Amino acid sequence: MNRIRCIPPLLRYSIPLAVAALAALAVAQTRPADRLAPPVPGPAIDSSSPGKSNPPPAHTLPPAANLRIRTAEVSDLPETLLDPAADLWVRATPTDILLNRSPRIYGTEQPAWQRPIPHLTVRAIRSADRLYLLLDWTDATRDAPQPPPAKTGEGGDPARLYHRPTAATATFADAAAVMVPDDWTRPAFPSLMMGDAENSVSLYAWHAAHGAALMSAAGRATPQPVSGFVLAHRAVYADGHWRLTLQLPNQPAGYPLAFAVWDGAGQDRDGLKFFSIWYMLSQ
Amino acid sequence: MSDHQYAMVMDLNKCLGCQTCTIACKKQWTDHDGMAYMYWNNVETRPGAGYPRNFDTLKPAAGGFDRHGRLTPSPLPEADDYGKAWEYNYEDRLFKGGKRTVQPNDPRLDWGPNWDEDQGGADRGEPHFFYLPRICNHCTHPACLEACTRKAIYKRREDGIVLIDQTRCRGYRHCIAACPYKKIYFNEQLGVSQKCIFCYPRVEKGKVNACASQCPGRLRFVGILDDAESPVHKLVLTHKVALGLFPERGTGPNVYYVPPFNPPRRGNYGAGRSIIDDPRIPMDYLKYLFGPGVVDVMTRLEAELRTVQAGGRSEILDLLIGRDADVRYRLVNTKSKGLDPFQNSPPQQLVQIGGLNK
Repeated sequence: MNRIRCIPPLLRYSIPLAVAALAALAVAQTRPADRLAPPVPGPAIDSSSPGKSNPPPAHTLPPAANLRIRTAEVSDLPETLLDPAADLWVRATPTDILLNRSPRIYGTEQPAWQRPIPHLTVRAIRSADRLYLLLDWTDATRDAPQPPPAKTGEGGDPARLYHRPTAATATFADAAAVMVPDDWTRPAFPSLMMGDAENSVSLYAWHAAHGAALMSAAGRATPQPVSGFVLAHRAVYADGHWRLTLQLPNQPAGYPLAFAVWDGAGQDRDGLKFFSIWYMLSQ
Repeated sequence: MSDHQYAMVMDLNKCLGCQTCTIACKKQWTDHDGMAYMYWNNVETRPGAGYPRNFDTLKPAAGGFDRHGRLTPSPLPEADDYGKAWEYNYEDRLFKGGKRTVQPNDPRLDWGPNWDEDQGGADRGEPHFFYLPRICNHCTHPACLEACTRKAIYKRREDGIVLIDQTRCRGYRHCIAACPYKKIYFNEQLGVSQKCIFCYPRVEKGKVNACASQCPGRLRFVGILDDAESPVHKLVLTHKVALGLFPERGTGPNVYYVPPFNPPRRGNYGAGRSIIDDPRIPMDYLKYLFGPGVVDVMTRLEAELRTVQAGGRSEILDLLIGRDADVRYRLVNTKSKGLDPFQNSPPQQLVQIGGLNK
């Protein structure tokens, strides 16, 4: 409460208004699923609609809680779910995620409005106590820079190794991440900036050059890799789209997720990214 | 803000552009994977493009702080702006009987560090150039430190040396964009940024920096800025004949330069002409590099020179000659409570200089 009182009055009222407006915009821009990819009926899929979910009482949650990710269920563990082209994914209902550009910090950076916003859709399937996500977003270029390999032959000796060189100093990789609160208690969401001191988050992060990893964070500049966790994933780039599957531990219905996408060609890294507000998993 | 600040003064009048400092640093620190293109110490010809190419004229900003104290990060230099390391066809020339001169293996090369050596500029038909050796400035207000979102960059409290924690760094390169001197380098093999460490493992043991130790021109002076007995204190604060590079960028650099002090374009000092009246190197260019204070420094140095030419003594010029190491260097043990000088250093007298705000 004390923290809220510290905010100047004008700002204090404009924040909830802005969040509400953003949420309304997101709902308005969520295209009906049948216009994007007509769901094909199948025996293993139970695509639940937003109406079927069991939302918590609206007055306890901010308007953002009305943003839902439709979640399907399959009865047994399909190994194919890690394949972005799997038939099951075609039949799952996509949810459009409204992305925002992180505001520029310094006046000499490119203004946020000059960056085209990627179009991100998310599909979710629960199976065998896992939550599988398929993120599909637009990106004009595939950016996965790798340092050059070692070269031999120094001084005319074919076996002698050169030092491995640096070939590029200003390239960055495409990336994406899903943020999940570690222990969420309604109604307040953790800070969108990688949680906060009281509300830690798990970051399921994928990097086009380094692969995927789980990180734990409790605020800006705090992410640390979690050792011993293998984040099963697969990423395919084709036709101006990244399609990325991630295998997460299961998350309960009504639990929040947030998403972020980095475009390497635009020198995105760190906090320079496209991000969503919190979306709720439907049942 | 650090308790003490190591600083270096370089007398540009003594630099012969031999790059011995560059190689001393290269062999000591940057002879490893991913570092071939890095020169933590480089010597560039001025006027010239510098290293990396045009680092001081990047648009829309070149780094550092604006007059309101706001960071103004620049675009990141590309690998071609630094110049990629190349090999020479030694085996063809030396072992296969070829008679052509040794050539780089890549004929498409069109840029590299020190590519424009000795080209310089021309003013009213007369050429001019000088050498500008550069290391990290270990700034009082480091723009790199402010820009790092990982809090991986820190300024050591005991001696003001700025370092990058290689375990915290994630290679985001905000520091490179923020540094107005472009003295931080990205190691693609390790995915981290790296920079001059002011030879802290040497300095902590009373050994002067490798670049200074190897310098045949003996143009480098090293010491603690707030140590009244140190040569850097005398040159920067007592005599005020050394200036930081691009002071308007607001970072408070702690490498200082005695500006190039060459004869007037026509005549000589003895003929009654002043270098301020008829400089060979345009004064506007020196002001661009060292700020408007360079005119005062030149005037002061010229007066000292005239004193000596008239048979008098100049403490400043005696110090700048700096024949012996114990004149040029005064290293103290910043880890001990009393800041004991290392061997061959005269007794010290620490002074307050307004919290090191120079």
